[in-house]
Amino acid sequence: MTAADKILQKALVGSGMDSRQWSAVQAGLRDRAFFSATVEDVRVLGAFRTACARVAAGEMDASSARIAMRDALTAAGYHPPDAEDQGPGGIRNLMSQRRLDLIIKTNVEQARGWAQHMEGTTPGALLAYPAQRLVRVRQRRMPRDWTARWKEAGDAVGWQGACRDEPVALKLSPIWAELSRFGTPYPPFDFNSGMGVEDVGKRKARELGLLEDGGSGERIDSPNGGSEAQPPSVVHPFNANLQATVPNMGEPERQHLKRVFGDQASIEGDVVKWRNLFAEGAPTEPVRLPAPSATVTVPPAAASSAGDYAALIPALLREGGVIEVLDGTVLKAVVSDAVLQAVRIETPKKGKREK
Amino acid sequence: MLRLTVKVTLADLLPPDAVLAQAGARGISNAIVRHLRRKPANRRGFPSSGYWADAADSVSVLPSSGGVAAVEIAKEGVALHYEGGTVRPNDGGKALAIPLDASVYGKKPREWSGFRRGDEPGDDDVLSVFWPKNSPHGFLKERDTGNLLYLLVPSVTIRADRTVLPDEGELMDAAQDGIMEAVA
Repeated sequence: MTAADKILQKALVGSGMDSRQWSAVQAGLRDRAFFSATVEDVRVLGAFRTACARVAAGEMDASSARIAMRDALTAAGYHPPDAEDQGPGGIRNLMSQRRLDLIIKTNVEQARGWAQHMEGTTPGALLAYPAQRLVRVRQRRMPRDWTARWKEAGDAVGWQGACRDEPVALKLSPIWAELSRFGTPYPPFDFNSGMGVEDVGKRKARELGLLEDGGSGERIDSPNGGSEAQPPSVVHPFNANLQATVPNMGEPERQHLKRVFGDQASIEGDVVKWRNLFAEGAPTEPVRLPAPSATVTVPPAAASSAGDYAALIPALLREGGVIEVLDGTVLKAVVSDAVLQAVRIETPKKGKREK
Repeated sequence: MLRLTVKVTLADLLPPDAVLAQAGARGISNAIVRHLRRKPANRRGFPSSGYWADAADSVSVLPSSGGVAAVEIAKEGVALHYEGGTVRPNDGGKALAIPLDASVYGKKPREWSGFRRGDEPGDDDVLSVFWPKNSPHGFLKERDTGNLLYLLVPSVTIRADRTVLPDEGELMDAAQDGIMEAVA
């Protein structure tokens, strides 16, 4: 589901509640509702929702969205309030650029944050980048103290899956929802915060002690409950045994994980466990790199270096063989070489476009 | 709809696999996000509207199929910047309005109270059209002050800018990083 779809699936909730009253509403409900403080007309909200979705889809710029939203307000007979503090530029004036920008930005950023969090927790993304870092993505004149907020949030969740020294945590750590004013485990974490996240790879996560080899298999539970709107927050992250509960994992994804990692991973229900094959002292039993059919075993005597293995790959694949190697370190080098040769990137071709 | 898509295909040596393709695409997505976040603000020196930061926020990895995954930037105008092209007015408009003043940057003329494209100027118009005879360009000026706020042109041709994306070598490295992290 895209960010635009996420906005369009929200229910229109016309209400006279102000922003303070709305902020007291449970995060899970807010996440499913399209609303704006003191706006009761659902026709207006419908036009607002469509405009926000089109901005999120990259089909409309903010200025065009504001024009469409003002047209809807005019059609509904809206008159800006007369009071001075609610005048032309005031946040309570629904026609004002400030108010409309707030509606657009809040909805689009939240929907994009949700969509990116969902993408960031797919099996492949989670496998490569299990953690993320809190970063400033837009400058602010008076930035909030995010170091203090990180510490407060970490203390509140017992630092489950989170690093104390750096603003880095597993994507599925409850610290993200705790950090957020909106109770959601993805950006934006507050109004006009300018903060976002960037992926942290598995190797760095290990280095920071967020992922370890061995251990008790402790689970991290989220305080947010298991709503569909917040799936990552209810998921149990990688733990010391490199175990994860992957949400919404369908049978094809399960099969793909099994096929790629073979003996390296076991999948029971939504729980994926795998072994770190390349760690010191890891078992040296054969590891299978999946391929179509027959098996060709490469004994250590036949190849002594990664280069030797890599040179064998084309011939082995021509025979439809599965490569078996006996040394994890060499396998890693072979995979590296194979990746180097096997990734193809297709970018749009140069051409004139008319809009 | 203007969308830019980068496809990652695992071919030849690695078997097609959705999970590895996702990991590779995520690596590419991360590289594009970092690249867009570093891009400088507009060249005219107007207050930044955060266009490129918004573009970075709009980067997404589409659901993968087999060994193919795609990365998309769902931000209006990004594909136009990348590929180049000619922009003309739509919906029967006669001209494009290019901001000349910081106060109107990111704001279309129709946002000004009382101004409606195609309407005859009325008493409450804030903007008025000034189009010198035989000139290919016109202007929209503020009625009260006479300040020129927009340049009016029949079309704008934008040159292709391949620096909108990291170069292919960087994208390749990023895809490999993603896959290597996955198997690490």
